[in-house]
Amino acid sequence: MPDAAPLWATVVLPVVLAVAAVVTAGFDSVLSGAAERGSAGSVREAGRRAVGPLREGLRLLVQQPRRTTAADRLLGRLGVVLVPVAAVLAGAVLPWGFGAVSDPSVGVVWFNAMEALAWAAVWLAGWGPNSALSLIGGYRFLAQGLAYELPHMFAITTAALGAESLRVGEVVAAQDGVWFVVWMPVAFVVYLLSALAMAFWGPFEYPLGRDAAGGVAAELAGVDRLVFLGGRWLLLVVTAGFSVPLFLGGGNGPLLPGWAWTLLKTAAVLALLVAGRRALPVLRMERYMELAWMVLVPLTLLQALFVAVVVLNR
Amino acid sequence: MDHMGHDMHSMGEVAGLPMAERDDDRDALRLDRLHVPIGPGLSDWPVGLILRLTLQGDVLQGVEVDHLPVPSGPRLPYWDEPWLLAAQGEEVTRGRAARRRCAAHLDSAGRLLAVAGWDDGAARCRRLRDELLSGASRQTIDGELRRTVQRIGRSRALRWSIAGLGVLPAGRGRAAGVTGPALAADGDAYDRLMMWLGEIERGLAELDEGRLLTSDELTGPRGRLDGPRPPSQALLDVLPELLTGAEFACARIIVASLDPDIEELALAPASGAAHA
Repeated sequence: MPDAAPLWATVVLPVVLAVAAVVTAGFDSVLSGAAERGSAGSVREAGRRAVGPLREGLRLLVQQPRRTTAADRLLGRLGVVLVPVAAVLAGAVLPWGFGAVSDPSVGVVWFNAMEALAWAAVWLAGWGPNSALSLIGGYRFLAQGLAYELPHMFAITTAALGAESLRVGEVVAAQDGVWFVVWMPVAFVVYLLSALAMAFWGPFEYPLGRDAAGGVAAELAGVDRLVFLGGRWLLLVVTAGFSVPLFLGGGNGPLLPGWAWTLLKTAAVLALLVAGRRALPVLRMERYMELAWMVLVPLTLLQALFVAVVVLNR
Repeated sequence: MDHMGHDMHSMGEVAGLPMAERDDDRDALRLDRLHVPIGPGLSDWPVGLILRLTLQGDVLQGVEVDHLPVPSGPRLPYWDEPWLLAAQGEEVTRGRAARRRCAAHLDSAGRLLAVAGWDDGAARCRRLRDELLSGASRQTIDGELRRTVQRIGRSRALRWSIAGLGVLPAGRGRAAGVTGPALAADGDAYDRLMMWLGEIERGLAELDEGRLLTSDELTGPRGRLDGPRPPSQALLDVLPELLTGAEFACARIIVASLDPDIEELALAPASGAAHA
């Protein structure tokens, strides 16, 4: 088991996550720039596109927040702020190769609990402005939760089952030889899908859907919008990052030190998700629910059964 | 609100906004009903269109179609311009008309894909539309346009997401006076998208066609321009039927798959045909 991280890691964690989020958003911006305006052509132009999200963030900082009639400002704000908070708290159990900020004996459960916090956050943010469209967005996230959460839990449980521990450090240690992704491919793929769903990003952007004029984010402007959408990128980074200790062997790897492997693997997963997103429309939950319950739940259960049998015969 | 009659005794206003009333829904449950207008200005929305929705939960129980006043003037509706000009006796090449039709369908497809949440596909459609309108030659645009059209046509996820929405059988469409791709598609939102894509590919072959449009070829991107009403009017007329009972999430996809053009309503009945 890796040692506990020094105290400074607690302070550095949010900063590192934020940097990772900005880089990911920049990469995404370069890809969407290519779709919108053709390939960049020069490094300079590509760079200009990459800092697009950062510029947008600064613009939001000085923009007036919007006020709506009879809004529930307290709960709405709370929802907005909870998104990045949930992301950072979930990130606390992410091992960085040498150790996590915290490695409790129930780390996997802690991670899952923080995403339940994100449910509350998104719904509250949708409830707050007293607007039909953002409320529709909020409820969409609950529907989305119903669809993705069960397969997601089974996928996470499968990894914990393989390590016979809920401690993230021990899940990593159990992959010293063979990574879990090798004998739990279904759980890994389902985890990636639900990572997107949990971050309500990409094909799972449904709660923020264009068809509902932005859904939950419809009435958010200024700092509120920055915190909410920035928090969403943080969530994406954290959920994608958590697939590394769960399935990709954490910091295990030849030659390079643990932190470097963690970084490389996390970057690879994020790149895969961001690039893969370009090929997909938003999945409407009405349709995804069918897939989730009729196909993904049985598949993840079979996967868990397989892992359980292997573990029992070890 | 008084005319709503029953069950209104305790309803009032909160902060100047009317409270939701209650009424029976389609399953005979008594539910809140909320009046939500969408439009006239909304991204990826036909400019000027207003739908006054009555929602119960996320089901559309009532739909009233309205639109902003259409400015009438000497300017012809942009997307129908080549055909109308030809009808007025101007010399318009087939290539120009094909270019406008392709661009119009790319514009519509871009809107539908954006509403379906496929930003990448939508962005590509819009860039190609702009390139077509700014006069890109067939050689420069052919490859990418075909690739984009094929990519959209091959997307199973897109098909899975929008198939089955807003089914408009040809018989029903014809009765409502629908012409053009929406009638030819004889099916759902996905079929209509495929019809646009097919017309784009066919139009591509004609981009550099130098022959002139004859004055009796009066079929614009949205249908026949020599009918008793502009094609978009027929599209608006079928909206309530297609939307009532649909879920909110599907409503915008259905609207975008028909893509009525409010500007087209300025078309005086058979304005072009009069000259023909």
